[in-house]
Amino acid sequence: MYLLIKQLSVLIFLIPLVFTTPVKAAPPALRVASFISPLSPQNADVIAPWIQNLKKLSDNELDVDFYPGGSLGRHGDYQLKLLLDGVHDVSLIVPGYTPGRFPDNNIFELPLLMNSSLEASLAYYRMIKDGYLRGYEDTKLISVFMSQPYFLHLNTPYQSLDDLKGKKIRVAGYLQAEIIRRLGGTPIGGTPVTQIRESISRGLIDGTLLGWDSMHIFGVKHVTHYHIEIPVTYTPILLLMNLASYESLDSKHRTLIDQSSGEEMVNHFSTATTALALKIYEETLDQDGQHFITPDKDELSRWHKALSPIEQSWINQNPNGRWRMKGLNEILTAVRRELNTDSKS
Amino acid sequence: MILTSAIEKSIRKTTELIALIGLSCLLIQAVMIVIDVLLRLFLNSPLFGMEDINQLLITIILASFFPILLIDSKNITIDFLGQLLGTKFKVWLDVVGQLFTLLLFILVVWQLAIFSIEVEYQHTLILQIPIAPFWWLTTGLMTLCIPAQLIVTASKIYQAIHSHSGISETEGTD
Repeated sequence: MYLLIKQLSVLIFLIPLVFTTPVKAAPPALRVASFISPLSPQNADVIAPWIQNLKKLSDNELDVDFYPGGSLGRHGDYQLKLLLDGVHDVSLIVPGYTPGRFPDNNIFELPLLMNSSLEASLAYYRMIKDGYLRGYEDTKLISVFMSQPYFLHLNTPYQSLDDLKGKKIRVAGYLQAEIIRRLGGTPIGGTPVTQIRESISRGLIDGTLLGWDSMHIFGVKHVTHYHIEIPVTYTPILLLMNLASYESLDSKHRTLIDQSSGEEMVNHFSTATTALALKIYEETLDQDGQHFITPDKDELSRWHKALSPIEQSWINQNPNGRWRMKGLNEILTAVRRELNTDSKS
Repeated sequence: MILTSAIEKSIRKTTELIALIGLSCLLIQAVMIVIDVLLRLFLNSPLFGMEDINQLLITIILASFFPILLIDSKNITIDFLGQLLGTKFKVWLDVVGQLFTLLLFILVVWQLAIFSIEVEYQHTLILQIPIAPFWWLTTGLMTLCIPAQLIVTASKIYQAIHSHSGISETEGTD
């Protein structure tokens, strides 16, 4: 009897093993990281839905975790290193934080070249895809977008370019410094975007170049009252994937990633950030004490005259600068035709 | 023993010289900050690219003080197990602590060398000065921490062995 009970109990333990199918080891989850706020339009309206879509299209075979708000590394400067080291599989990167790493990107910072974030974003994506820009060989490009256009915002009155003489303007990068210098101002570097508001309040600087979405996010709209309505420059932003992580996926999942990223995502990014920027712009427009200066034709021509040497200087300094600029102009013409927009402002 | 002493002496001299250079850089940086403030105050025009210079100098200044701090055992140590377990264990725990410190600096130097390779094409934001040479210099300075720490570790092992054999029982100065 004792023997029978013992044999039965062994059988009871063995039955589940017989009927259980062997479990295949699941591939590790992809870590998508973004150092900006989870509530930002880039995260909430583009990256998070993209992840959901990837999961849905793969019938939840593709395991993707999202780490917004810098939970896998807070500082923008380190995002590229974290991606290349494999800490992130997909990461939001501001190439401007690693100057020289993407040496041709500053073609998009050249002044008065583009009309909107959307056309700049599409041109940026196509420039990379067509091989005009260096530095992308060791990563997988998911998508790109351009910042909202950077306008000049001041806390002192402005009527014409003469009013910029000697004004201390915060800059991020040597091309922005050159723009401000040629407009007659004094470029001030080394002020992080998070400190612009305080620096203006304390009188350390008189203004900044910034997009309307950032004006809201960093509170700069509260300390500047004169806004010059010329889209001066842009800052490129990337969504990149670690190449080894991409190549480790099976071909079905690689195809899914390819199909769900690219220009469609560029459009989503641009639409989401433009919606926020427009909202902030319109709110500020209605506020007392805010002055929006739209330069007349003569004033605009003074701006163009002052800034045009920068483009030529860039062409001369960049290896194959003329070829890259020609490529950008051709791509911009095609993009503008597709978007039915005007030519260069 | 004479050879070891000669090596220690030359490493100590080198660390002192490097710390002196680091101190000079610190003073230069301080003078530049004063000039920058005065220019802002009186001419409304700060030193252009000051932040770039600061960014490059600060890592070199910090790295230049590490070797002398290690060789003089100026780092902070916390003895808690040693006090509980007695002198016999304490000397060997000190050896373990120094070995871990040595390992840490080897890892730091290794990662710094990798980083210096990675930033080969990068430059500063405003002045566009290449940053790789400055990171290689920082790596070189931190490399000097390894022989400095080796000397400290060897000295601790020597103390531990001799305290065991009862020849001498010396306490560390750190």
